[in-house]
Amino acid sequence: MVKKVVIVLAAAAVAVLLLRYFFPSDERLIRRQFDRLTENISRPAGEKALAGLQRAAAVSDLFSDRVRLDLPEAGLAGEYDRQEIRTLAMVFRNRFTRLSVECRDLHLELEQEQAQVTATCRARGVAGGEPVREVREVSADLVRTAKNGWRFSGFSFVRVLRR
Amino acid sequence: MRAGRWLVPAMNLRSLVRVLLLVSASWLLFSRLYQPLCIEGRSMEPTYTDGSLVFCNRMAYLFSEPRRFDVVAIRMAGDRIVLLKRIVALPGETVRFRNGVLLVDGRPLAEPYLQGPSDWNLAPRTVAPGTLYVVGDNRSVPMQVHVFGQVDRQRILGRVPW
Repeated sequence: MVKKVVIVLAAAAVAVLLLRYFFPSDERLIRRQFDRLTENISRPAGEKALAGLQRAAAVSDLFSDRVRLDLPEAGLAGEYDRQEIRTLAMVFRNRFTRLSVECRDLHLELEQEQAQVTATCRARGVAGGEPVREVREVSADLVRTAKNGWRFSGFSFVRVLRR
Repeated sequence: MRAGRWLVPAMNLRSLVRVLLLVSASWLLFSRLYQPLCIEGRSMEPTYTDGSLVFCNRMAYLFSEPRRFDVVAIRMAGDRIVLLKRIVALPGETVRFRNGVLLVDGRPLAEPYLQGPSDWNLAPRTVAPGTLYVVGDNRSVPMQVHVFGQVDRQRILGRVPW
C-alpha cells in the first residue's frame, strides 16, 4: 500500500516537473532571466577576453531597448540603450579578477505586460587584489516581449538603511 | 540487526508519519522560531566573526519591542540573506559620532563590545518614528564602507540571543 502511494507521488512529482519545464509560467521565465543575468555578470577566475565580451553581450541581450537605471552609488542614473548596457557590463566585469553574483528572495508582482521584482543580490569577488563583498536589495522592472518572453527595463537600489 | 533497522526503518505507515513529523518540526524550529544564520563579513567583529554560525530568535519581538544593544537580523527582500546589526538608538533620539565616540542625545554611549580605534564623525540626526538606528560593532573600518543607519521596525526579523 505504502509502496503504491510512494510510486504515485513520485510519478506526480515527475509530471509536475515536466509540465513546469515545457510550459513555464511567467514567474518561472522571470526567474530564469535573473539566473541568466547573474550567470553572465559573474566572472570566473582566468576568464579569456573573448569570453568576457560574449558574456557582456549576453547581459545586454537580457535588457529592453530603453533601460532606466537608478543606481546612484554606482554612479548610474538615467536612461540607457542596449549598447550602453553592454559597455557598462564590460566595464563592471573588468573591475574584478573574479566575481560571483547571486540573487535570492525574489518577490514578483506581475501585471499583463510588465512585472516588478525585488530581490537581494550578493556579490563576492576580488577587485584590485582586495576581496569584495556587497549585499544590496534591488528592484527590477521587466516588460513582456513580442515572443512572450521578458526583458529588464529598469533597475534601482532599495535603501534598507538610511544614515 | 537492530542497528540496521534503526538506520533504515521498515517502510510502513508508522515510519512515514514519523519522518513527516520530524521534517515538519525541524522546518518549524529552524525557519520560524530559531533561524540559523551563517555570518559573512566583518561588520560585527569582534562580537561575531566571519564564518561563525548564530541563531535568530524570530519570536523575540512578538510581545515586546526591540531594545538598545540588541543584536538584530534585518530582512532585505526576504529572509534568506539578512543584515546583522546592533540597535544603538530608539525613535526620537538624536545620534551622532564624534571622533569615533557614539553620542545619543548628546551623551556618550558606553559600548563595551567595541575594540580597536575609530575615527568616525557624523553630524547629529534624529531617529524617525517607526525606525531604529543600527550599527555594526566593527568601527575600525572606514565609515564610508560600513553599512549602518535607520531601519524600519518592520524589517527587524528577530534578535540574536547570544
